[in-house]
Amino acid sequence: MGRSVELARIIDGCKSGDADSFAQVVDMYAGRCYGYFYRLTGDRDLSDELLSELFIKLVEKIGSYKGGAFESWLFKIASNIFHDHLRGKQRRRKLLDGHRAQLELEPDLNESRFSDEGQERLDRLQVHLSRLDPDTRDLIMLRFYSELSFKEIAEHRSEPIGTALSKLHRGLKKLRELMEG
Amino acid sequence: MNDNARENLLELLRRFMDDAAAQAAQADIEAAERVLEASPAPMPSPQTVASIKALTRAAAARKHRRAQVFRSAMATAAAVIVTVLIGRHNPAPAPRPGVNFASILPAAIWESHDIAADDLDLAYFASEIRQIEAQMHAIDSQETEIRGADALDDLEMELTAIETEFWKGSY
Repeated sequence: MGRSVELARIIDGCKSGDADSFAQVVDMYAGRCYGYFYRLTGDRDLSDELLSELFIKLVEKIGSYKGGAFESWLFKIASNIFHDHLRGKQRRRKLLDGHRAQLELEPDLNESRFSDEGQERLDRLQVHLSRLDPDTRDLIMLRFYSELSFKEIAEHRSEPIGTALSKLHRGLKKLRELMEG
Repeated sequence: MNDNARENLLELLRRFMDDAAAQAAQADIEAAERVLEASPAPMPSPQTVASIKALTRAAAARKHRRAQVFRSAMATAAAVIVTVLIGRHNPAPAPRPGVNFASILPAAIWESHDIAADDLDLAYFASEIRQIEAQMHAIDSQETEIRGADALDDLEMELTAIETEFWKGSY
């Protein structure tokens, strides 16, 4: 009860534009949201960027928060940001495919980026998570890091609850097999 | 994962499968979630957190400024709307129609106090106008032998003469 009262006070502060209240929200949720982005992307720099975007969006959208579970609201924004990022990545990939011949003649910037990322030690979970398709990965991470119920997750993804449940079950089962294999 | 979400999991699974399958699915899900819990993701660096705090501070300040500008713009717009509404409800008095119509009459008639003479002048003036009107119709319909250019010249001369004589007070 005390925590929710404290959170409500902080959110009121955010709504009135108090910068210290936003800083408190960052302290409270940066870790969880960063974990969510990191598990989806496996890239610390990209997770930093997405996390920054999330909290900037929070400042812009706090007026539209009308109560209810704040974590759920925040993670819906986080999920939208990740999907926007995925869509942008797909657009870039299409653009790259269109210019493949040209790119093959130039130094492979993508490869050098991967070798930079290779410096970063990826844990086993991250390696196995990357074998799941992005949609299932997002579903698992949304369920794990946010406080969204299955009903809310299904609504947010615009799919029937049974579909979300079945995808999550299959994805988690596969992940467990990969981890134990 | 939070406990509230987990509480309904078995019940939720039972809506889609039989009891044994639901219990097995729940066990799968919970076992996999334990694996996730055992491998926590890294935390953001303190520099990242500090940078995000600075960004949110700047964004909040920008938003505050935008709100101030918006409020002052709304106040200005409201003032303009109120002024327009007041203007609509209390319009300036329209000029009397009679004055406008009178302006086409020669000043000599308008300013004269001799009603009997003015009536005669007006009757003559009106008959001249009717005559000119008839000639115009005749030209338009080609019903007269007067050809276009000559007829127009005649009309123009006649109008000039009438106007001059009116201003001299001959009519």
